[in-house]
Amino acid sequence: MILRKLLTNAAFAAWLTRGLLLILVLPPVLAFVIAAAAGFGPSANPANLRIFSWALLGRSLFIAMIVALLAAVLGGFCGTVTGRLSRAASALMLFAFVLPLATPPSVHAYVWRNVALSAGLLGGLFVEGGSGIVNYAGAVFSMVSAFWTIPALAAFAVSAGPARRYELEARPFASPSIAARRILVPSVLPAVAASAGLVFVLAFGEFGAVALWQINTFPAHVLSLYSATFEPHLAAAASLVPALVTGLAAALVFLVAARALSATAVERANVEREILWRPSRVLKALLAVFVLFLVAGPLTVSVWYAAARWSSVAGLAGILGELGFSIVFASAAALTGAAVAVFAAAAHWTSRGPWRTLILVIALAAFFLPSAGAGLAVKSVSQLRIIPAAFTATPAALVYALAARFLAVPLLLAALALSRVDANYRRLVEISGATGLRAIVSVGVPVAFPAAFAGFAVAAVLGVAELPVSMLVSPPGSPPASVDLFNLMHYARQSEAFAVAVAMSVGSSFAIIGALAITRRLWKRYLPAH
Amino acid sequence: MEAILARSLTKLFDRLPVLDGASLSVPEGQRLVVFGPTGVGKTTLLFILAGLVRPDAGEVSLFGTKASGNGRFIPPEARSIGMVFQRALLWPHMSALQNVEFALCQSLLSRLERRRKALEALALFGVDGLASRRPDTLSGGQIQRVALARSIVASPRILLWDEPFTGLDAATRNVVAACAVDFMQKARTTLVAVSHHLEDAGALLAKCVRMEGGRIVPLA
Repeated sequence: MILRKLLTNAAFAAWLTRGLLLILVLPPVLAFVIAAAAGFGPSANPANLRIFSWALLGRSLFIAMIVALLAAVLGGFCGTVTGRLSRAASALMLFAFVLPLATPPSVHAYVWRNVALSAGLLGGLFVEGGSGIVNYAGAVFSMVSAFWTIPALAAFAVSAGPARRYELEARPFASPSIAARRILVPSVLPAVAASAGLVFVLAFGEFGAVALWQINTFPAHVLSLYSATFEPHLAAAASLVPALVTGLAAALVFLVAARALSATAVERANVEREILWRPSRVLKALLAVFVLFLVAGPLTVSVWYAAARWSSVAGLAGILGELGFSIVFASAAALTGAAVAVFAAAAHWTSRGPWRTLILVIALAAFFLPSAGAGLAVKSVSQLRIIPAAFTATPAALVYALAARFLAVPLLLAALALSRVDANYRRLVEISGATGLRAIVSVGVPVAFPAAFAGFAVAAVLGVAELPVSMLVSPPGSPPASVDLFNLMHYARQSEAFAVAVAMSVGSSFAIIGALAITRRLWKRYLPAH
Repeated sequence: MEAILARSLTKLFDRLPVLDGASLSVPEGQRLVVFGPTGVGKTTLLFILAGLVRPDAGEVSLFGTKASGNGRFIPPEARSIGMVFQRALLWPHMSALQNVEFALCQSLLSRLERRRKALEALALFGVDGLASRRPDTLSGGQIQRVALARSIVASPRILLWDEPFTGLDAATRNVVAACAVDFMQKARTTLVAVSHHLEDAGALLAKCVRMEGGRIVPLA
């Protein structure tokens, strides 16, 4: 009787799910906040190190904005055109769009810096070479190369999906070219704008690619406070401003994405491709050039370097084994995060309350913290006396850290998916008398499940590539593949580094494509109306 | 003169025949309502008449000119049609007025003239007061009336309406239909509408036929 009352009690269900989420996210966030507070203390900065700099902030914002703008233009164009190719061609292009995302941005920078070195732009010096303009352009170009397919994927999703229905509505009145200009392009723009915001967030927080091009941005400065000067308290204090910028940008992205999504709830347009706009040969050729240059190019360079000294690459079996372990740990972390996220999102959907926003902000905070800060925070939590020593001696701490850091991804996706669901669904749940955990499990979770699954896949891929957290929290003696990759790059063992990068990119790409296919099937099963 | 002459139209989807030799003849200025249960091919018939779907067999002639069939195809925008889709959509980045104005994008009218005509069309369906509103602020019935205005604003020779009065109450439907009939009579516009409700045919003062097994048969 008591159990039944608990199961159907809305407040109990809401706090149970919130409790799970807070157990995962709150300790590292609190540990970080305490560290940051200590960084502002009177004796915290005896060496008088710089915590805040307008010049650094301005440079970081400028680079991130240029990257977002270029990625939006390039990706928006390529995604829109790809949405109108044949099924086989668009499937091939989709794989090409996923490939750069599955490659860490620092690897993109490594590829393009090697290309610049070979082209004589760095004066023969890999580390210290290059003029200011070359380095700035290289950093921007490397990040565009890493992130441009995010807007491309967003534009593709709209161009091949709801934009077809909007364009069909226009065809009795307008030619395909007019319909494309006045209906297709404006339909794609909100999704491209939202994804450009995401690119801005990622580019603003990126430290590896800019550091390789000898450019100091705010995130690179924070990382150097953590790793070069070993001032974790100052680093935590310094990272509050970039974390705030990232948080504000992410909130804006969420709003734009929610608005863009609201216009996509239309039925499929069941017409022949010939009736709607189709790209000309020139546009298709332009698409091919961009994809060849920005996707096939880096991949070819990586494979070429890896193959140049095949004998050393052949001894990589151990590292590839570690890649397998990394995938297992990152998947376990993503699964934990996605499970908590789907319950939390479903609980918020079935029973709204004033705590909703605060809980969301706390969950997102772990995502906005600097990576090294999050890693150190988990490390300090795991060193508490109440935590068993086995926690740090095993990959459990790494799984916990990755789960807490990337929980925001499935949480945001699940929340966005639920925001698209007709409010009457929720009212029907209330009318049917299902409340509390029963309502969450029977309705909320299934509705949010496909989005949470997509979030799981993205979080797993991010977890495999995550460097500072892995470096700080992984158990002694078994470094994850991302740490190995960093070490190989650091010690200029190019062939091995590129071989690991190619294995990581191709493996993660197949994982993402597989997850997308499963998500699509799940969505059809659970949400036939969408 | 026959405004619409469709002969032996056949269309397969996933190898299943949706239209199976459907034939239709509508004289100029006449209004015809096609009834039938869901999934019988009514919307496909409208799409073929509009040029949004090509028939697998059969042909369509509009005002004596072959529009589809035997290798000939006139694109939708060159058929002088106005269309209201089932679950009509307004483009979310445009206001109600801009949505209607878009249907005049191929005309040679000045911008001012296009705006005037769009406002007139909105007024015909009683929604000129919503001209500046965005679609996400309109109710289902208001969206439907803006879509009806959009279909007639360019004075097309043929109107193809799919469930045109969805979301309208009976009284509003009768007022809207009376205004539309008045417009069609003055302009000698031909109408083919698809509906589930016999009352729609009454309101439009239209002839009725039924679709059954992919063919058009007289109403029993």
